[in-house]
Amino acid sequence: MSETPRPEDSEAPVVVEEAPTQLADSTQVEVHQPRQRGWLHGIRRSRPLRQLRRNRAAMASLIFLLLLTLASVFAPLLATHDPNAQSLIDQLQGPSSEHWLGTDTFGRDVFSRLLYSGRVTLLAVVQALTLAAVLGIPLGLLAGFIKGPVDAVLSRLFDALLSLPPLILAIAIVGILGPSLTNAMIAIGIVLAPPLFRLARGAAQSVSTETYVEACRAIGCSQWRLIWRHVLPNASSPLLVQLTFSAGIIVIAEASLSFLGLGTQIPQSSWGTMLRDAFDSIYDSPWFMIAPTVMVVLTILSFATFGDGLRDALEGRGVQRVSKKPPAPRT
Amino acid sequence: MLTMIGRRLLAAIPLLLFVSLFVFALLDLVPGDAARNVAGETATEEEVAATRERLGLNDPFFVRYFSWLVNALHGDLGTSLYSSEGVSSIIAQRLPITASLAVVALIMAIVVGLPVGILAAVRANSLVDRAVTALAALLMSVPPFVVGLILVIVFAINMDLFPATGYSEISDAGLGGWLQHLILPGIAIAAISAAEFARQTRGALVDTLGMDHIRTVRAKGLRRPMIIGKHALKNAGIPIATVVGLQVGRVLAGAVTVEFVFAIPGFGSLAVQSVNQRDVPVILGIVMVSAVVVIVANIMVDLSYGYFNPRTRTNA
Repeated sequence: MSETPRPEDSEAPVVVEEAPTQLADSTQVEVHQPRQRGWLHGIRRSRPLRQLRRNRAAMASLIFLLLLTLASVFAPLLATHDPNAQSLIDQLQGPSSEHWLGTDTFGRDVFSRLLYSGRVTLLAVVQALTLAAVLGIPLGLLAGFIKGPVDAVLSRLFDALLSLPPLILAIAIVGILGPSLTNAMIAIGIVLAPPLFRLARGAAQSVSTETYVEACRAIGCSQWRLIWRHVLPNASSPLLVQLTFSAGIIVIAEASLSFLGLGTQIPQSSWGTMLRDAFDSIYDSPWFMIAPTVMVVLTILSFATFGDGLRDALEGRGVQRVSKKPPAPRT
Repeated sequence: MLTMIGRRLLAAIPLLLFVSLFVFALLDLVPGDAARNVAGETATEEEVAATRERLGLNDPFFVRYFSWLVNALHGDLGTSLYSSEGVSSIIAQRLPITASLAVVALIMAIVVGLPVGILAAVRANSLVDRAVTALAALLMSVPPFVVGLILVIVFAINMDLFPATGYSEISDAGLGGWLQHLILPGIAIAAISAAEFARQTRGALVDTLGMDHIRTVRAKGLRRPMIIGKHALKNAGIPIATVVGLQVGRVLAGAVTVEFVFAIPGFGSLAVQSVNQRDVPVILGIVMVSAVVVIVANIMVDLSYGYFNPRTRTNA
């Protein structure tokens, strides 16, 4: 099955070719800058970043994501009500100055719930993304660098994971661990690790034959230093792009699992559980769907658009309006 | 051709073994006692022990794995802990429902996505193209169950055009009744796929239309439908076929939430139900069956490459 072309396959070689140029560029810029200006200046002037800044859609997405993060961090300050406070007199109200987005079937303030739910969702993204990165990237670098039986076994394992529909595997894992947000994120982290593994492995494989790696080995670099200082930086661009796409997938997956009752549990709420509440009262008050839907869609769209922009910038193809390459798979 | 199919199938075997071992090992980690669940809340210690013995839960891990594997190869995926029905027969009841949903969804996705993608590619960088691209990006960001919820509200509750829930067999309700129940969930699942078809078709076709042989056929005066249909689309076929293959897994995953929204008693709702009941053998069966479906779809996509690009036939 290893020949089965998947988007990851087509992506790896292209990006790996590009990565050294990008590295060369940034070093060049640093060489031109007076030392005292510091590394931040070098990064700010780097070509990919300038290209990214010119991409209006990507920048709009980034701003939205930053605002979302700020709103989530400061949710307790911004919320107008206690998100879980029920008030039967106030139930099913429309938007008003008291309740900006109205109230739900239990009289809870929708705006405050939306803020706190965003917090839960973003935290879930961080959890699952960290797990996926910790599982996929080091093992991938190791497999691509050491090769041999370690590589064979790990590659087979991750191939096997990749041949399962992500949501089904995630549901199965949640079924085993029991429904909770943390377990759902563990499941999603496991499910999202294989693409990262493949990218890291591909990059490590192509870098491991480079002359500079050989040179470093010749002067007695340790295996660990080689991977950390030479292989990882060269693999970082494709990994960064993949991580951005993965974040969008996690939002979808969290919403789906929580909607099914397998993710976030009461008293916490996420956008997925808000959608579930809306679904449960779909005949009485269909408009409850609007707020969580808008947030979920905008967040996923922002991650995807920013990922596209990042990819275009890192591959030096920002001139094109639309990327021609197959996008990363989504759930 | 036959040897290639054989080789691909052989290559799939270790993959499936790995999947099964992985999932079986995962399921072994289930906290809680399956035997106690089956025996019931009020069962005595002896009854629980007897149930454990009956279910073979006392055997070592690999003994259980191999007996499960041998049975699975005979088409027996074990017995549901909940209904004491065979897992294979439960899945066999549910799978056709999801299969018909998947077929309806894939047809809708292709019928909408392909022409839209072609239109966008032919008018690359025009207003139409940008509108299509933006719309596709937006559609790809809406989870299938959200599309389903919106469709239920608009077409089932507000307009009362389609039933909001349920499923009926062709034999019971006829073709119309069957299709009526599948249209809304079909659209819900198809939306993302249609967007991706449009996006991929556009991308592949724009690339192909820039190639030398297209310039040549254009120069010799071939008409546009012929250029697109015969010379360009076939060359753009490989990325498009790859996307079709990817959609199979996506449709299965989409079915999980969408069937829940529309209360369709298919494969997806079986997955949710068995997870809620902690019905381990059914979960295992579901994962294995979906792995087989995805792997077979991948093999078929690989085989289609030979049609689109004969050069890939020899070295495959």
